[in-house]
Amino acid sequence: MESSGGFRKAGALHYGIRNTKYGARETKECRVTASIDAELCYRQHRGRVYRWALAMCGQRADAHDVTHEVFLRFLRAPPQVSAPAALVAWLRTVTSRVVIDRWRRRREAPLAAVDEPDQPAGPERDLEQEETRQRLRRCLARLSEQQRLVLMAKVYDGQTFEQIARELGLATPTVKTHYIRALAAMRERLAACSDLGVQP
Amino acid sequence: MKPHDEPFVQRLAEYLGGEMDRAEAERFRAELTADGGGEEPLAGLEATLAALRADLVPLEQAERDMAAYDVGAAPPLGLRSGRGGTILRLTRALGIAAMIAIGFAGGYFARGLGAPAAEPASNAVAGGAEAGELAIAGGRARGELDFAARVPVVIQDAAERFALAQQEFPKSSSFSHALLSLARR
Repeated sequence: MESSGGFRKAGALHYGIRNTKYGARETKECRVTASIDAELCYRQHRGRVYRWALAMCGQRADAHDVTHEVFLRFLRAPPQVSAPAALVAWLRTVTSRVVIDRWRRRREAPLAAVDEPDQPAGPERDLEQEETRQRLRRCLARLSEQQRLVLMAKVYDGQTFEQIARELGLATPTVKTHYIRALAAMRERLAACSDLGVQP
Repeated sequence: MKPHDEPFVQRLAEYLGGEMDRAEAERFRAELTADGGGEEPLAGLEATLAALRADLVPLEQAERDMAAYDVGAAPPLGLRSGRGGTILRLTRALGIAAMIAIGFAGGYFARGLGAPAAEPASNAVAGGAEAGELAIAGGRARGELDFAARVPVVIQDAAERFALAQQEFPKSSSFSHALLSLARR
């Protein structure tokens, strides 16, 4: 990518993160820089963001919208971060907030299952899985933000508790507690929703 | 299960998070089974985790999905391929052809129903100017010819959004324009 090459030469780019050496009086220049960095960031992380969004929304169209909204926020206010892991954490937080905002605007959690056109299955099984997923997403929406972020980092990205603790600026035991409480809360809510695939 | 026992919660997190070595995991599971009543809640937590993981598409698939929706590689708005783009291009071509035809016809009639072919050069220029004016008028009258009605509303909206995006980020790259336009779709 030509633009990213230029910025690498200038030493102002690390994995799509803009070095914040520009002052507030150079806002226009920052905007140009941010837009180019956003492009690199977008190309590097769009799949990851889309994956989180799809897992949380269940609809490809919604996941595309959420992904673009996340990078739009990057354009408007680039994160002041200096490490790739911190950028991923920022993207995860923003994705979670964008999805929750959408749910709140609709006044309910999403009702659709993840689109899986290539996986035909029996209609009863499909329906059962769809119901479980709907409830799962509703439960995810009701967790605290930190619980949700810990769960996303652990389950969606397979990060270790130590990595998550560093990203979120928490102690490792606290992250582990968040993880178990989030899972327990989801299990209880799912169990309360009667006969799902999840046993109480 | 001992939900308020902090060391237990830490071990349970390590077990469910896959951060316990195999021998210790087996020992932990055996402890829970021996405890009586610990196995069922554990199975519930494991089922919740499995359900969460089942909702996740592979990263490669997500990358492919998003690459197919690459806003950076998208052609400029109004020139997109597909039915909408074809209709727009056809409408534009018809509109231009109609404007030229109306211009020529207007110029012809304005000069008195067929002037001699060999006109002085100055008159030709004046006639051309008149034809140009009539062409503009003809362009304005496109609505009467119902060309505008053929332009899909979606594309008109996209053009507006694109203009708004340009206003908001006047110095940003075409990527951000496209991104903003798509985000406002």
